[in-house]
Amino acid sequence: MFEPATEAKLADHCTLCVHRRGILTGQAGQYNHYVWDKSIPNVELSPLCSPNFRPGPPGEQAQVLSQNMDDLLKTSGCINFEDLCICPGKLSWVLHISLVCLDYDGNIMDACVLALVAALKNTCLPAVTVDEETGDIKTDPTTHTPLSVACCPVSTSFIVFDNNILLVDPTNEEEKLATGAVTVVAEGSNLVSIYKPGGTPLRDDQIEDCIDRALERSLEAARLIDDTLCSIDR
Amino acid sequence: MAAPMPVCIPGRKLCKESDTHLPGTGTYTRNGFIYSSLVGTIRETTDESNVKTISVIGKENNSIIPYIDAIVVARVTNVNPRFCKCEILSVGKHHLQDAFRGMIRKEDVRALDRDRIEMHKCFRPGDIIIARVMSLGDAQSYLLTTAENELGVVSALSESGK
Amino acid sequence: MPLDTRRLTGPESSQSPYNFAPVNKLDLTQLDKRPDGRSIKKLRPLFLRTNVVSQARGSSYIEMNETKVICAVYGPREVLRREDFSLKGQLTCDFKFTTFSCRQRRQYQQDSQEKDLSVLVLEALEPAVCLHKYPKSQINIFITVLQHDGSALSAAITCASVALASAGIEMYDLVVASSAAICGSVTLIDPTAQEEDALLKATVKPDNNAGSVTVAFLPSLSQVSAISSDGELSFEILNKSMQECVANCQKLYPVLEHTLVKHQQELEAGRS
Repeated sequence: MFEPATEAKLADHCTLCVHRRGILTGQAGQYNHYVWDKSIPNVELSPLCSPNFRPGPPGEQAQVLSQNMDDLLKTSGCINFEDLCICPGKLSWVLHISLVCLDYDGNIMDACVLALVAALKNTCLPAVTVDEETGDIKTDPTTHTPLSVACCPVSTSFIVFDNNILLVDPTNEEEKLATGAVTVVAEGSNLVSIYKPGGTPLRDDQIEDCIDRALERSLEAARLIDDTLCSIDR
Repeated sequence: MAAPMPVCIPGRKLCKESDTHLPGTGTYTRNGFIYSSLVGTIRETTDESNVKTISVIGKENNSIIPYIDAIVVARVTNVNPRFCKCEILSVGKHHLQDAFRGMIRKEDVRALDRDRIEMHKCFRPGDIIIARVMSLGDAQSYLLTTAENELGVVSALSESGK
Repeated sequence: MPLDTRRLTGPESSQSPYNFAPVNKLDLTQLDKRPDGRSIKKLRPLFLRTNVVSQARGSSYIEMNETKVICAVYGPREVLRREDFSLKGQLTCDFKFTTFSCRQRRQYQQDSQEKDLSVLVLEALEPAVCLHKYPKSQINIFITVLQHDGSALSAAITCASVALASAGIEMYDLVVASSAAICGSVTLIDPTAQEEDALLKATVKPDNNAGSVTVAFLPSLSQVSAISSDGELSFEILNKSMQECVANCQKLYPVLEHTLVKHQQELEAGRS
């Protein structure tokens, strides 16, 4: 309703990402303790999006993805967690980030990262005033300040097919037949992370090829996100 | 290009049921009328005695499930001395999106010489078989039979796996 | 609240910023014009689409201004648990609000309201599905509310019936649902979340009439498959608002018909 939301769509695959802001009230002195807990990403792979998922608590894949998103947020430095502080030692924003997969057709990681970054860039925080004496909190949802997002990490996934063919942006069917996978997260011309969960061993020239392509794509995707955000009127 | 066929949706009244108009697939009758039960195009077929059958053809691969007397393709998953278990992959010409479990009992493997059947000599896990659905079976699986000349294993790997 | 180890959980003491925002009170009895500018008898525009989830047998998406619901149908597939066995086909329904769909953040686990709504949707749809055609198998309906701005139940029922039809499941008829909120002598058709909230919080209940009604209707058979009514309502008022809901269902029916005909034509075009 009032939350910033984005939908990333890679062909048949779409992921919806929505940030819900909450105000965290902690006691003085506890502030530092919460620094790392101010953004909580959760990926939902519901039974709606694919016949492979069953109702109930999140499966292994969803748990791994949530953790990946969390690591990405904290290591890429795309948001400065100090910015989320409202009143040092007392109040801070907490970002509940829900990534909901609506249609699972492979390459969930790329879709999640795109949706995540675009939603962060689209996040606005309402103005908060704290009464010094009584400690009463008042928010004004009509005035917003946009959240500053320092960088725009983009993930590019490859699968290895038949032990030597590399395919970018795999579909669900291709993922099932794959013998290995690599995910490269890049930000502009910098590398954020490489994730290769076992599978076929790759030569270093193959890895380099992946990185080159990922860097190229990250610029394109970042431009696309900015164009999309410009076209929304708020 | 032919003119687009009339499309009907579930609940659409098609015509009066009579001796010359019979309900076909994708339809049901209620209070003497034939109604459509699917989203699809209407098809009328007339036989020699001028009896029309009204049916509705929906999307291909129309939510089919195994039925009695259907010919199915299945993959053997598990063999023991009394029966073998398999998963039904397709019914007739239609591929199933989700596999259903099936079972062939020892006495249904072939019609002749039933007493000397040794299950592990007939099937091995991974074999692709063609079978006929005998009955809906129990809660777990459909009962299949291969006791006909045209039925049985159609594709298998040798013992070395090649 | 049991600890959820499979999700990343945040600090427990966080609160929504809207808790601290000034509240606009809405008095339903003194309403000249609704907050969104509609008259009290007017429905919101309806947007419907099929084939939104590529992996599902059938799916649909419905939008009524700010209420957005997506639904996918899987099956008929095998019943996995032995104790669930029956020779008649089964229909299951899983209704979920996304955590961000409402003004207050919702939990990831299905809560009692969602379980209740699952059953209501199921009861509204069951009479319309030819379950005897699917022995030993089950048809699963998954409904997710992406954004809740009132009348989620009626949107979900309509959406699910279109998804079932697009999945090629045999049905006696489509199901269309419509809802109304009643406060005193005022009957608001197709209420928004703000109006539903105002009704719940209304302290003065004139003539002891305050509640909401949702009617699920089989339009071409002219039968009502389910009625759900909350609150305290007199029989005459309930009857009158039910008739209004039925009339609204009939108004919405051409939209469903159009969507499904378009769905079938696209399918044919893709085939040839």
